[in-house]
Amino acid sequence: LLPEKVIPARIERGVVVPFFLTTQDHPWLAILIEEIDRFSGRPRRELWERLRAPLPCAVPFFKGRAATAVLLRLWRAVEEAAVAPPAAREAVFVAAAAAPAGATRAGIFAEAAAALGVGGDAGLEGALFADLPGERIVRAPSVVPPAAEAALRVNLAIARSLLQRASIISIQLEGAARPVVRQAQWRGLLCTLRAAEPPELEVSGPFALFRRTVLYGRALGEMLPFLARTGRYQLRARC
Amino acid sequence: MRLVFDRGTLILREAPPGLDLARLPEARWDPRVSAFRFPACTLEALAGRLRRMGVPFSDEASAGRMGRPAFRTPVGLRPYQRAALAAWEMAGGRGLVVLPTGAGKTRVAFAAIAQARVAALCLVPTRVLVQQWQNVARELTGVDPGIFGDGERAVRPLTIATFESAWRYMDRIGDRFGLLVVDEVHHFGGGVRDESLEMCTAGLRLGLTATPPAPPGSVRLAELVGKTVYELSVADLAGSFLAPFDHLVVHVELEPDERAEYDRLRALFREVFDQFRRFHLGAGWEDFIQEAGRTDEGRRAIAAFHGARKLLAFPRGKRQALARLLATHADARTLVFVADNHTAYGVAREHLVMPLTCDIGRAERERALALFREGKLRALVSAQVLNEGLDVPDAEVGIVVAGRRGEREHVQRIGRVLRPRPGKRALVYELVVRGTSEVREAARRRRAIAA
Repeated sequence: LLPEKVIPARIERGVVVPFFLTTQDHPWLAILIEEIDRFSGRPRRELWERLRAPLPCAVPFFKGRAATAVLLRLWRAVEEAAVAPPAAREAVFVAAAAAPAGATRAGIFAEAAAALGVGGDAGLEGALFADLPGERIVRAPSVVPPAAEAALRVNLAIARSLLQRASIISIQLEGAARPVVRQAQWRGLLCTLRAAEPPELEVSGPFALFRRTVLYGRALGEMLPFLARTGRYQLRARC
Repeated sequence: MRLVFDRGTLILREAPPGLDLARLPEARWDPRVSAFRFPACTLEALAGRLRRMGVPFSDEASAGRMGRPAFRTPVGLRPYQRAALAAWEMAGGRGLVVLPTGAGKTRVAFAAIAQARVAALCLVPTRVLVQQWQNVARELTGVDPGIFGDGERAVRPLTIATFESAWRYMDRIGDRFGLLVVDEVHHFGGGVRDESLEMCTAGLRLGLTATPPAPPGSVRLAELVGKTVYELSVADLAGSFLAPFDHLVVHVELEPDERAEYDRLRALFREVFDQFRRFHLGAGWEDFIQEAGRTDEGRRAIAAFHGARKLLAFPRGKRQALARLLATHADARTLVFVADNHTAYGVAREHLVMPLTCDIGRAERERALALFREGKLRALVSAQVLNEGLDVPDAEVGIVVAGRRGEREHVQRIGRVLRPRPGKRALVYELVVRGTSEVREAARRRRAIAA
């Protein structure tokens, strides 16, 4: 889910108003997708560096940050090294500790390569930290999502991230409420059904009575996809 | 009337009509279940109050408690550890024991568990420390503890859990223990994780730390765990139960281009910060960050502040000094402390020294510590992983290149090289850049060591 400072929303008279992505956002989102995809096969730190600079089009600041955070999870980073980095580190650092005063760096790496049973230095220097987050290689997803689909993913992430910070949610439901109640109870939450038209469910955790707590946020956020199965719903969250 | 534990809270069910429960401290009417609800940590106070009121009730909230752990060996204590335990007992089994790193806080904890004769839950900050406490429990008490965290969910009369797991699962296991032990307790007292302490029914509570927090954190901790009942500093134990040490400050200079950049960044920051202070008397750093984040000028000032800190973290002067010190102490086991992971990797690449960071997996960290213990690795470099808790093998030299977290961090770091051994005298170097904010910070850190 999105960190708080990345969620595109503003507070208006005590009410959080999220900025969901619309069709107007698709053009810059497509450019962002293209730009991220361009870094496939390169270290992730280069992609991070590029994303710190502006795109060649206008991008709404907060929406852009949220979209970037969501897309970066699709373009995963993988470790690529000739020798497993932990093994390379152990061999090199142990060889360095055992090396006599005045030993050269090349000599230490040759010693480590010999200890690992690989020829030459076998790219040991490169392998040393190839598993660090910034050194991992960016890999594109099997299917690059079009802008419209990416926008939906970003919107779901925004909604769930806001719910994660809620302590109580009220849901006006049209259709069967039982599956939603069951999901809430299964997650250790308390449900109260208010007789109204349509019926209103209030969902929260027992401890929410004492503190403004985010303890149940994850469980509240997980309920969102189940609501999509009801006929129609309106959800209000209290933080 | 039944007093029941319900997901981190207490509920009074089947209350007789006419009994005014709303008067009880912390009572909240819960319309969702049509009963009064209380935080779980109030169990003892609530039960005592109901008894004093002469209200008959069945205490089902305590019924879920497990039996005491069957320790197979008594826990031996040093004199000051015995004094700490006695102070905790005299305080009614609630309170903070403050001892420097390496003074054996874990041993005090296990002695307290043995003395209390109730099921105990020990909370530790990281998964690495869960492993460490598990090993110490086996070694000291002969008991195989339950583990809660790192994918395991085994609850036993002696259970060890990470802070994170405790926060997530205390609503389910909070009624199983009579004693709650909190390692590195200074992490509590001002955040959401305090809820895990509130959701546990244990009346006996022991907090362990080398660096007790200042108010308001200390006030909240006093409510949740207790006040400080026993405190010793590094200076109290150095030379007797901790190794004596020399603390040497190595002053380095910025090179002209670094100095120009540092002065530029500081001027940019000071201009905005000084103006803020003129108009906001008594405001703190957090207030400044909040205010500055609202304007471009403020954001530039914050960026300049961080830029200056980054520059001081590892300028060329420190680079050269570190190279000299590592060469001088090539035969000694050395711990290098830096400000951030980026610098740790820089030092590792340049000097071929093993880094210990959050990016390095648990198995590899343990392997590195074992190699360090065997003398196959001569030095380790770390930003934060070595700061607290971790049982680092004996080291003779500590080099503090830079820090981020002030005096508390410094005290913890120095404790890392004070594990006693006959004839040992530890050496701690602190690299400080002349004519910068580091000079003042270093003086403050030295005062904290002497205190």
